[in-house]
Amino acid sequence: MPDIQVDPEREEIDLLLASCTRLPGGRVLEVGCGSGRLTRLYARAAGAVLAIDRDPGRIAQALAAGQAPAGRVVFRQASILDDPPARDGPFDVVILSWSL
Amino acid sequence: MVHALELAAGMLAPGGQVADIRALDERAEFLVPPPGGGPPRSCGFLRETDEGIEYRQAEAALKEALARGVLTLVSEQPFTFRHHASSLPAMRAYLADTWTDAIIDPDVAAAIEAALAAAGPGAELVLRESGWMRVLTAGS
Repeated sequence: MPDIQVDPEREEIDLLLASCTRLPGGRVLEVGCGSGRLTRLYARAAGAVLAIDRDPGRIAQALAAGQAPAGRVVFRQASILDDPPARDGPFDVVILSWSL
Repeated sequence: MVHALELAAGMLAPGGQVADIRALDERAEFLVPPPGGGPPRSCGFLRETDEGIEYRQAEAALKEALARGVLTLVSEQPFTFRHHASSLPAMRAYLADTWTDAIIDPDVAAAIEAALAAAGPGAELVLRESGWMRVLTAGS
């Protein structure tokens, strides 16, 4: 096995996809995306994703990890409090990803 | 935190949804499942230096946002969230990178090492925490 596996049981992503009826094909804002672990799991179902994190190191990790569908996901260093991406909206889904 | 919820609600399209994913105010537990199957062995709990303050603040903020009509609850459901590591050092490195206030106390580390040794080759260390997912819409 890899050194670390996070939620290989897929409980989080399966519940997200089952609960968020507006996610398929929708515009998604993810707040606190970190290294994009969850982003990569739902991105193919969404129409477009803006994934933000206030930590530039995490955004660098997300960009380096790749695997997100090209042209569908934008990772950006930003804070919902200091730099809310309202001009990129409106969004069908806002995910507060372990970040509230 | 309430302001973050107000901002999130304000950026929703008509009919849009906020998904609030977060940990419950419960301690995460270290487990070592036997490689061949069977019930996992509990090795104790992760300690967090803030003792759950952030969890309680987030919950209070959401309750305030609901009470003020900023958001309306559509659904909520618990789920189990597991982090699997190939060894205790791997888990330590992972936690140091992702969970800044996490501490593995010495007695817990010793229990983990003993459980991994007893389980034999192929054993893994699991950190199990409880998550909560709420779906909300903008309030009226």
